[in-house]
Amino acid sequence: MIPTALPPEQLYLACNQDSFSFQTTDDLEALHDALGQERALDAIGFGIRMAHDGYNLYVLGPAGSGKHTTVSQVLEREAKGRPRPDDWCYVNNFDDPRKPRALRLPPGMGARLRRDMEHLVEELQTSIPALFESDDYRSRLQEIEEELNQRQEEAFKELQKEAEEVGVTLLKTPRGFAFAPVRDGEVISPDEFNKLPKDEQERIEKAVGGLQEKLQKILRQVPQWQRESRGKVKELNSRVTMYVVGSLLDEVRKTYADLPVVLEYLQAVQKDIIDNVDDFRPQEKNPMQMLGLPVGMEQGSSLRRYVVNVLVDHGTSEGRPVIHEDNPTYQNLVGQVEHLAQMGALVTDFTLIKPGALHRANQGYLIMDVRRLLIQPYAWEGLKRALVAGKINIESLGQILSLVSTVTLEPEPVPLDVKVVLLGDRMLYYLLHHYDPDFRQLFKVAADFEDDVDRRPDNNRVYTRMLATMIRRHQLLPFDRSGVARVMEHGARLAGDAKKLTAHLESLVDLLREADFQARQEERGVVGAVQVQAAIDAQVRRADRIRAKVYEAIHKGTVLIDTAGERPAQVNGLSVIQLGNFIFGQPSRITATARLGDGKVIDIEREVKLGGAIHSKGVLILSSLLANRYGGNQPLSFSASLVFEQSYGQVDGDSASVAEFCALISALIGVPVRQHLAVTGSVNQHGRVQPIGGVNEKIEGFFDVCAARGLTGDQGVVIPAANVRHLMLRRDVVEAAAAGRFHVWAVETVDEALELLTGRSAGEPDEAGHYPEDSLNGLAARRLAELTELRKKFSAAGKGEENNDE
Amino acid sequence: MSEPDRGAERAVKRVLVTLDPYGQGVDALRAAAGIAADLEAELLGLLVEDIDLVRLAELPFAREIDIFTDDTEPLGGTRMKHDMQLQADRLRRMLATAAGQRRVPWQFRVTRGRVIDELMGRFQEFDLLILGQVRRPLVRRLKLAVRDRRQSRVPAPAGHRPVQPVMVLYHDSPASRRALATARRLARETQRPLMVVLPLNPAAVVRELERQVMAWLREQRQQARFAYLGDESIAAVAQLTRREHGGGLVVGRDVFALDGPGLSSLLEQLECPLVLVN
Repeated sequence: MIPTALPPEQLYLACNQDSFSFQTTDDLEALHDALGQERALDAIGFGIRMAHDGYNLYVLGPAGSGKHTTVSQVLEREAKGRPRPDDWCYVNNFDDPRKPRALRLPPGMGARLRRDMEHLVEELQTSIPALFESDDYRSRLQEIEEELNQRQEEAFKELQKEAEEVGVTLLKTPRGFAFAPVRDGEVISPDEFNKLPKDEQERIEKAVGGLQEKLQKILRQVPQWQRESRGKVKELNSRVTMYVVGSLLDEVRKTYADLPVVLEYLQAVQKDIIDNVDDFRPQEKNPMQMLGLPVGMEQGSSLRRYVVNVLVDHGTSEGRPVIHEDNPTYQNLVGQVEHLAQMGALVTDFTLIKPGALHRANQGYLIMDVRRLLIQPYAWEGLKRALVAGKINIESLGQILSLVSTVTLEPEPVPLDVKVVLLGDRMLYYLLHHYDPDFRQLFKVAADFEDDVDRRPDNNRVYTRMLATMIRRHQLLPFDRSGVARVMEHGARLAGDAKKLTAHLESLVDLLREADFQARQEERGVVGAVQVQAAIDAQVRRADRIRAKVYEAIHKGTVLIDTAGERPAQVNGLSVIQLGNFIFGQPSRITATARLGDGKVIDIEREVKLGGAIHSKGVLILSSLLANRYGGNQPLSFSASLVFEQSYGQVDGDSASVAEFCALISALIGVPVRQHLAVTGSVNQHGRVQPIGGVNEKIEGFFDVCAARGLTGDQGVVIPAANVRHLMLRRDVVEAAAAGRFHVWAVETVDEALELLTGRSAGEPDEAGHYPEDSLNGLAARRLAELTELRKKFSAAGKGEENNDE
Repeated sequence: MSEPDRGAERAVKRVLVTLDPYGQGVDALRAAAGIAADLEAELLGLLVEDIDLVRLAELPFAREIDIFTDDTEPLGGTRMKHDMQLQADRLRRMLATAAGQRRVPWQFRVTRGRVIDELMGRFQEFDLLILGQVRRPLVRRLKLAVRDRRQSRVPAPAGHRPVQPVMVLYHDSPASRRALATARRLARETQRPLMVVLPLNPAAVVRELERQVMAWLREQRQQARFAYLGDESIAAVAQLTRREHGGGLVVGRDVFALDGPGLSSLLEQLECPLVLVN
């Protein structure tokens, strides 16, 4: 029985404005939860509360589906009520400055310790010099110096006395000292010396020699005396410094009495200050200057080592941190040690350690886009290393890759306790899941965002609130009921299902914004259905240049599509083309040929490698259907060819298999096919028609071609019955259908499609499986039987000729 | 007091600076060049080669103890002559550099003899004498030598560097007024504070001297500290200078009886350069 055309109300499920209880969206309450994402929200809730390692989250869903906003809202809510995380600071390691120490402090205490240390150093810079300038200190220092002087002087005086007793004086020579005999205050000249008696000369020589030895002995003792004096000065300095430092540090210690790590640090500070007390005194100008600039970080900044580098300060935070890292480079994730360029050299210290997103998000949540993370060199590896190790190790890429061997800092790793939330599309999730074993261990929770939500009365009400929230957030004009209804209808169209509404928030926001734009252009205070439709039309208009070119080619006859008359073995199929975000339908001519053969159906698209795997599968199913339906106990003795005429690109999908079946039967039995119809749908081996995608665009594509030539009233499209629920056709198509100028038929079997396309009965098989003779199936079965007989004859004739030859 | 002083400063045309063959002497030399430039005077650098060293070198058993290695080496006339020539060349270059930087006309002279005798012989020829540590007794020389070698000085903590003022002995005499003006110039030139040393008694005289000096200092916009001498002997002056870590002592020619022994005694006891103003 030939199906009847679908009524207009089945072609478009309009939104009933009268069901709305509001006048404009201003009357609606804001919606704080994501609509229809209960599954994803449950997963997120589970992930963030699951304390064990590896329960990080991957939030799946297409871009623009509102994942980021939803996740942020959930995390912000969750984080707010939780205790603030600890502060982290890096301080100098006085035992090994290459390995700065990490201090964990209660929130707010990091900044306080920094201030306390700054204050301490300021105080010491004043009080230490004052102490060392004091008369007490100077007199004690002088005592030590005097003691040394006295020791030396006594030794030298004794030597002097001895020299004078033997008539010898000490002279300063260009390189040292020398003893010389004197007479009347003057050194004896060589002539006078030579005139002296021999024993006197010997006495003088011996005396000078003895004095020289004694002077040498004294000179050798002096360094030991000096060392002893230096030791005493050092001890004095330590005691004096301790007097100041101890009392000031005791004040600081009181604040951190219950923080052993800080007390330990302060103890190290105290020791270092005592050992390096000179750093707190006015320094002479460093001679190592160039162009007036200090060379080396120590210049004027030796006290930097007492700085507290507050890496993370949660003094003013509220709850746990929720960090969004938009640029997840390796360094931005794990932190880095910066350097200062000084006279061509790069220098650094612990004060130049900078935190990464992991530091900032520690004990909280870190949100990142997975695609951005993956395209940054080593960022993914760096993140995994930190998560696996449970600590943040600040290393440069150069260190990791062993590219540099220069000495640099090795900051103490910071323990890591963070929930990482990756946002990305499904393909990346499944690729990572398949190829990266670490991913499975580290991201155990998948929160899969729905693409659409059911179009039910309760959901509709929430959907309107969601639209109202978007409108307010983006400061758009309010939408009236007609505007909201039209947006929702378009939401169903975007979902590709009259009983669904899209959850792709970005598309909706775009439409709302553009409708708002239209309304403002018209100087309206409220956005209505007209403006929404105008915005939709404008979107299409901006994107449909290629579609227009394709339809123009059909209209001009360059691409051959008949929309009237009948042709055997020729069927109008329908395909969809997606260019960016724009999808449109395009009619295609499918033709078939049939001849005596061995049952093989040749897919020409496949033969020339223009057919995809799914298309090939469709053709093979078709062959199987033919064999199942008409083969019976005999082999199929025909060969057939199928082709998309004037198709020069890739063809994929099985949505043309109904059309191909009809073309094949027509070719087999020579019954003509109506060209004012187009057909879409896939078929299974038993002849059942199955749903396909893009049904709205396909119908509209054939409608546009027919409309351009003038609607005749008998034109229309045959679609799978299962696709009726997806129909959200354009208003002009629906109007044409309502006026009887265009039709849409829904079929469940290929027989129904055959009957619509040929106007003849397909025929039902009797109990023996035989079709009525004049039905399409009966004709097909008879033709196949004829071909089988013909093949037998050919086969027998061939054998006879072979025997004759023998 | 200002008018006569200015006249006296303008009269300074020749400045003598003794060159210490064993000391660095660069600061004293620069200060001397600065003062000479300020006064538009000529600078004469005088190096006195010690005649005793020449005699010593000729003695057959003469040996020199190296201050850095404690080793002894034989001395000889040729080596001594060579070492003295090197000293003279070095000091000549230092003088040329210091004078050249201030564009001061300069002369360099080398004489041989005894330092004090040579100075006394030339004293009247110059308006200003700047004397380095040209004569030290045995014990002080040894102390300084061992202090300087191997950087073995007792580590005075950084920052504990006593400010070394320019000290001037002031009496109510024309030469001491010129000495005060010279000391101010020297303090400014070397960026050191000025310390005016006054006799402690009698009290009335001291107050008058203070008043005079303070009035003049105000006029010159110069700050200064005062120190007082109970005993005006050379020993007391030297002791005060040491106690205050004096960076230089400026004395008018008429303050002490600076004949040969007096000058010799002062130089032996001072640890800083002496500036004599004629």
